[in-house]
Amino acid sequence: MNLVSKSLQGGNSITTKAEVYYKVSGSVLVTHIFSPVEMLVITNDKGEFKMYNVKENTISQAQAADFSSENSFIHDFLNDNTNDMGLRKMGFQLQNTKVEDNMVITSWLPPLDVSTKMTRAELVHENYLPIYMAFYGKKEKLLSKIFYYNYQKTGELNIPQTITEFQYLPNGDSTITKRNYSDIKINEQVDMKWLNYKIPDNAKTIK
Amino acid sequence: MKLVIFFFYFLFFIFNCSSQYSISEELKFTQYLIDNNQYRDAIFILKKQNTSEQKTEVADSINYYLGWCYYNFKILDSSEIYFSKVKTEPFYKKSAFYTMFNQAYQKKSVEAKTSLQNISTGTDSSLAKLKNLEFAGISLLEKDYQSYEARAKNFSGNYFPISQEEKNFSAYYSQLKKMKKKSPALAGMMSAIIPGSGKFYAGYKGQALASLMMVGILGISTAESYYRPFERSEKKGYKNAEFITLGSLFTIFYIGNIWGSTLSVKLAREHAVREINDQILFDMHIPIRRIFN
Repeated sequence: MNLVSKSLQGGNSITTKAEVYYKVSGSVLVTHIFSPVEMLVITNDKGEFKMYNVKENTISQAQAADFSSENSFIHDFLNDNTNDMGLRKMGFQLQNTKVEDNMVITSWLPPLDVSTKMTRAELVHENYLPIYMAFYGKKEKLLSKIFYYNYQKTGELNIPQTITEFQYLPNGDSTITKRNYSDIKINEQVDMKWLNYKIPDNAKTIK
Repeated sequence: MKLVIFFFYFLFFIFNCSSQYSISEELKFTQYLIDNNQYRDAIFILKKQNTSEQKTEVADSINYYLGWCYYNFKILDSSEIYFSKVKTEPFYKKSAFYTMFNQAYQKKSVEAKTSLQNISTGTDSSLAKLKNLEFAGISLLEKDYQSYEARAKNFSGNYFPISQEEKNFSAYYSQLKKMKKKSPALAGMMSAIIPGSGKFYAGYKGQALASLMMVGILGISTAESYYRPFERSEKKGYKNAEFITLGSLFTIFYIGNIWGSTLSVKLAREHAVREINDQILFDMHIPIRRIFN
């Protein structure tokens, strides 16, 4: 699928254009960024992260659970995890459920290791599809909120074509990121070039 | 007659095609199960296949998938058996490296080295570099520093899937070489003079303080009961019941502290080596995953 991401923070705006590919085997997520710079970002379910600069032939690598492709929204939608958007897997526990105006609102308690920063998460479904997710800190202070909309049915899957994310920073500032996905393809329709791309053996490692 | 022969050939062709079709479907389904971490179900399906009746490449696929399932279950002995049965590409090299890693993890260094020696890298210089790194890892696990040094000379540092691990191995080598051989006898003697000091020398600072306090308090109580009995009517000295009780306790703890100090030196070293060995195995594993997955 194609991706146009616009981020806005403190009056500065960055627009990123990319193609996103996902392979179920090994949960390989490949993001081919072609603007502002050509980059290839590869992650998998084990949290192995590679960022390859095609022009400079340089690569930076890292490994951490946070980098796992299973944390991406694509994984949740393709693996039918939309009922909890992966919260349960992250250690969140369902606290309560309520129905308001045909919307199912679930409240989740965070795992102990993040409970000092985060007090709860809220997930809202409409017609069995997630439309809103929010994370709260102490004193019900909003940490981030995400809106999922413009759903498109592709095969058996419903995938949101627009995701808008608000991140509230401790200094009172905020970051707004709007991601527009388009031209969603599955199975044989997908061009496998970037999914099977082999990073050259002579790529220079950078920190 | 020709018709009968043709009929039999036709039947054989149909039967053969249908069996090949079914096994390829089974393997596709197995791949789907593995992709979804359903290893138990995948093993159930794979175990139903008779590899002796299959073509080599099909049998290799079955053995590779079984090896992979058991590997993900962390049943490394079974994983090793199935991986070692794979003889043809596309799974041969990956299976061969995983066979070696399973053996190294199970502390079968000799078998691991043999498996690694038998992997033919051909003209593939990147696989030759990986092979060299794995040999270096096994040498470090065996604490065969001479062999490690010979392998480390071939570290290129310019092949990104293994460059970080090459650096890590150099760091582990330095750590292992710097590791002082502490004396258990000295630790025992130190604890005999100052209770707990032997444990401090071994590196267990918290335990050292606990031992000093425990033996110290018991020692002081024992001395006090010797010179100043609890009841006026009681006798002074070693015939005092309180002194006998506290003295016995003090003796047990004092000797225990000496014995524990001698053991703690050995334990501390084993613990430190085990930690480094775990890191070596981790760094042997990651490049294999990076290159083949």
